[in-house]
Amino acid sequence: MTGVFFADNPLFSVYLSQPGTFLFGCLVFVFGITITLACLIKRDQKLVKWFTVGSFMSWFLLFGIVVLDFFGASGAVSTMDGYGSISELLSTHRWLLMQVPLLLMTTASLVTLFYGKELTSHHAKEYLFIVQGSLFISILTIFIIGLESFI
Amino acid sequence: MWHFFSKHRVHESLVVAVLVATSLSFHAAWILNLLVVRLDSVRLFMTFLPLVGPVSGMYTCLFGFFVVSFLILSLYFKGRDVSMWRKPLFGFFLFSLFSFFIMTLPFVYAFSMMVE
Repeated sequence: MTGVFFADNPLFSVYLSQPGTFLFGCLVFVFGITITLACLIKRDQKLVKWFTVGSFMSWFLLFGIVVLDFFGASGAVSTMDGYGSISELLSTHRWLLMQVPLLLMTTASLVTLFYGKELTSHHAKEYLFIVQGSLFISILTIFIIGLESFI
Repeated sequence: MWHFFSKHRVHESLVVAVLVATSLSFHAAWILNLLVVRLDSVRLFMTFLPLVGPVSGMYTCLFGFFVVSFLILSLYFKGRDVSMWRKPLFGFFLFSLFSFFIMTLPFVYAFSMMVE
């Protein structure tokens, strides 16, 4: 084993050289865990705590992706004439859609943090539906953003 | 501070405050986007970081709006019985999300008509 964090490995070096891609991979991984917990949350109250952890991790990863995108955007714009071209990014659907998972994951994290184990109670079915729906819509939005980036 | 979270009690007023703040933030987001697209003065005002453009102002304002509205609403709902708000709030949340998705479609917010 040579190098730091397997940096000599061609597969890992690709991901480590592009932090945005690395964060996106982590996000998909954490979303996968969190969605499984969201489906099982009604069966065991102990899973609420881990679901909260997963939601906060997803939020931090989303925030990291947005910050990296901002830096990437500023880097790209410095090679152009002005910021007119970067403003075009705003008019694209991707920048607007990115607000959805950020807001929804904030909501899901805070609701599970404040409500705790009572989230699985019968009286809180609306809140549980909002938490689960927020996660599903966030994942759907992330995939729409990914698809739009290919256009 | 951690005692506040570890003590067994249901903080439904805080949950309601979070949900109302999120719903209002969705409305603020699409209205802000519409203003940025339509008005040059708002677009210039929202350009906090010149290298990034109005995106920086929009995200900062959205974050600020969410935090401020959450603080105000959590003070407003503090100690109140909010159980009757569950179903209306659920509807308002879905309506806000649906409004955001519709109003941020490019052919909706960029729609214009020439009247002669």
